[in-house]
Amino acid sequence: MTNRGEPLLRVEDLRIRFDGSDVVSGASFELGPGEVLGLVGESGCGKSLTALAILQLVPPPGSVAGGKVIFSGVDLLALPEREMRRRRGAEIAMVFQEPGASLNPVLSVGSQVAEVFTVHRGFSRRAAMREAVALLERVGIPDAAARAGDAPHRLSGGQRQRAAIAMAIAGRPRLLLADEPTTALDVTVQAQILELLRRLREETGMAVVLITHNLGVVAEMADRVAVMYAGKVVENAAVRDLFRRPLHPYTQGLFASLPDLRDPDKALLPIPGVVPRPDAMPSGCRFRDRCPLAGEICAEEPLLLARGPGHAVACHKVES
Amino acid sequence: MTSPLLARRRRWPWGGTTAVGMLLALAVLGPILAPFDPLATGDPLADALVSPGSRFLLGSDDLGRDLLSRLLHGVRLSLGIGLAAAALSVGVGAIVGALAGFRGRWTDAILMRGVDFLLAFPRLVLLLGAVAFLDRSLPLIVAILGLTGWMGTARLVRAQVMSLRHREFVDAGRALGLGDARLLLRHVLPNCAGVLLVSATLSVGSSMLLEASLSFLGLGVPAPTPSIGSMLAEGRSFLASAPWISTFPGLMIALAVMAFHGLGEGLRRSFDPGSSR
Amino acid sequence: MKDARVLVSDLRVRYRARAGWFRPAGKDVRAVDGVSLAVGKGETLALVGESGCGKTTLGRALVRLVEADAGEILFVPDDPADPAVERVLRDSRSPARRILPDGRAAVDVRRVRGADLRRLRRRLQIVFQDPYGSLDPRMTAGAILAEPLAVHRIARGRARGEEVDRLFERVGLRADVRQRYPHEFSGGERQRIGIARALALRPSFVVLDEPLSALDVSVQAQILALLRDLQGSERLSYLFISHDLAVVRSLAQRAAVMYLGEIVEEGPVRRLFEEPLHPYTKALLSAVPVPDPETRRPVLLLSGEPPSAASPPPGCRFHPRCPVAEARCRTEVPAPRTPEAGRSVTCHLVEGE
Repeated sequence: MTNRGEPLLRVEDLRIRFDGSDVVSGASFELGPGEVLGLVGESGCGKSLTALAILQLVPPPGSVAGGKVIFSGVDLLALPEREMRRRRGAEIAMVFQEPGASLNPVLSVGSQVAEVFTVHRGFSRRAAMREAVALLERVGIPDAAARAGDAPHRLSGGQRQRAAIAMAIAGRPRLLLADEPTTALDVTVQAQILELLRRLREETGMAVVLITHNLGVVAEMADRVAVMYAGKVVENAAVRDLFRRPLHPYTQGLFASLPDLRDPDKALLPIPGVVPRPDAMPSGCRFRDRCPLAGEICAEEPLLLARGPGHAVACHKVES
Repeated sequence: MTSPLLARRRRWPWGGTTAVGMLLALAVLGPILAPFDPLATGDPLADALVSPGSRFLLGSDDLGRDLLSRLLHGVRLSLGIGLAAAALSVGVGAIVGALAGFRGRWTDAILMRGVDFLLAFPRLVLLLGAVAFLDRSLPLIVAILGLTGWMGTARLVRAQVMSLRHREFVDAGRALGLGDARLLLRHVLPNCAGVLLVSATLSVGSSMLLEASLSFLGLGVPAPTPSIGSMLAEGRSFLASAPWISTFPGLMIALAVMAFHGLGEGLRRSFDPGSSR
Repeated sequence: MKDARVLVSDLRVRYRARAGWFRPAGKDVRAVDGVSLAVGKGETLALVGESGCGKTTLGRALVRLVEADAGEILFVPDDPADPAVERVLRDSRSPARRILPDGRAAVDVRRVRGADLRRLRRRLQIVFQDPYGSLDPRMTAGAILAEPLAVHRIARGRARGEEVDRLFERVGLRADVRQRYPHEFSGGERQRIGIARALALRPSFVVLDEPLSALDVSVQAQILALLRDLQGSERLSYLFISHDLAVVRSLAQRAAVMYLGEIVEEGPVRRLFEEPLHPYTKALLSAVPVPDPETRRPVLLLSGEPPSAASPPPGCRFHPRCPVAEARCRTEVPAPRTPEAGRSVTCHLVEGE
């Protein structure tokens, strides 16, 4: 990669096992301070598990089977649980797809945000509550003082997601993992939440790993993009480079199959076949069976190699 | 291909299945293997109250009857009654529960109030009342056991049906022109199989226990048919001198009920892996 | 509309809030509040809107999975002798029989009952959003497709098996999967089965309720291609319900935008997208993220969220969120107007007849 200074987060060859097979094998990417990395892929490609692995929250029977997750120079995978807990919520925070999945349904929204202030920033209970209300207002919840006392189900989907974001940034994390934060929301609400994330990032300078399957969201929000397929990162590039010159056949296939609002007559070319199941992965390149360029050499697993400045691809058939 | 019943299993409860399997084998084959005639009394001096040993494997009672043979016959009776009563309970419960759950509104309200009403009566008291007024016979006992034990199943099936009836595949069926009857019988009930299986196994256990209780009180199947309950009662007077007369039947019924409950729990856990670990 | 397949007039669907033992009756939710639209033969009308706008309820009401409270749904068959509608149309005193101004016979979908309704369902079908939930997990794929044929007594014995095979092939599945259960298929394949099932009865009109939303992005294109293909070969009319505007633009000829139970704008897809007139349509279009990092388009951010349909705002329902609302928008309900031929907009600030 080009030297942009020491990356805030570097994931090297991450391997996650689940039920006897590798659902993530060889995921590698990095992220600089204040950058937004879009982690793109379809369901089952392992992007959510990768984010959970960063926080060491992979649910059993899954487990991290190899690789390194280096955050600010420290390999998180080698840390004991006690050290991880200090970082979770404080240095690295996460927001999930279901609006308010991280909200306890029987407690008030305000008290849950306040909890982060007491646990990670040492505020007293009263002060924490004041900060919580201020934060709820900052994330755009109207009438925050009143809503702080509400249980999550009294808020709308968009508001719950704002509250979840408030909880996540209360600890002033340097890295935010956002796992499909707007997928379950209406498109006008999505635009609002994305705008909120953009604003917060400008104000706090935190880095974001934005997980999504929506290339439009990636184009709007990300600085760099890592494309995942069947558990591997197959392409990694700056966002402009990826959209202008996608190199991996899967990325190209994705672009070709998506309808584009600006080009209604675009002929949509679906990618044939389906994503292989984790227990039925082809040997060598996992995209072989669906790839128009597949050849004999593809029986060997391709490495993620640089093919241009800041642009890495895992494919035998790509010229530099 | 793999049917969904087998496919989504976490793990089939082989332990429970084996235990119940052995029990059923015992019930079927036992009487054939019994060394003696369970009703044959023996010489009061030589054969009565003999401790378990080479002559009588599990000992003999005060009338010189071989305990092992009696036990084998008794198990068959208990199991037979338990299974028959469970079948009746689950059958009635499934119908009532399905109707209440599917129709909803008035049907549900009336049926469920009926269930609540019947649940208020202690089952044993109902049984005692019935046998007091009517002639004791095997069919009667099965009928009463079956007709007093369906309420739990009805509740379970109702809950399951209510959650199923709004599933999209039911709507899809309706959109294709399927009527309520067909939707209920072909789509909703088969998806209750898990609930019904669990209900049935647990029901067998409780029916067996109740029958044993009745026989213990002398109100069960009339003598001299060997039944575990009556054997327990007969052995009461000899607890100190000849404990084997009560102990073995007692152990047997306990193991039998545990086997069925074990199977039922195992089935429940495998159908519903989220609920209890 | 000439050559209409389905004509909807002033349809209303209300969910009643029933009083409980300790709770007084709340407000009724007017999920569909006076919707009129028309779907032409062989045409796709897209129904676009966000959650709570009533589009799913409307779709279900058209196939009578949900009973409307008021309004009219007319189905215009190609041939009055079609067994699905013949009985109704033959009986001149049937309350479900209707003659259109141009002389064609039509069926009042809301008034059909019993066996007549069952027969009519052959022509009005629906494909659901959730490919897994809409299939009975206990039935094999073959049984799922055979069932409608059995219920409506189409094809017996071997002919039925052959018809099932034909349906599998029509949707791009190999016929040897008929013994498999739903859980053994992928999401895209399950959706194909759902589509095949809807086609089994040879419908004329199919409601597609967000058929792509639950599918992976790379599979969406496959299913979209299939739907387009089937529309041509089976001559189907689609009501395509979706929140994905890009897909709508690529499949539909006409589109209607719904907000809080009403249609606020309707017209040819091309015009609607090139030049949206209603402020909500404009906001909706501008909110869709565009897959191009170079363009930073101005986003019309709406304030707040879609309100609940239980208490819609007075006057124009959109006024609390509308960036250009005026005084009269708060009090007067706007009437639909025609700014150009074939388009209709319901907004005070748009000129038209």
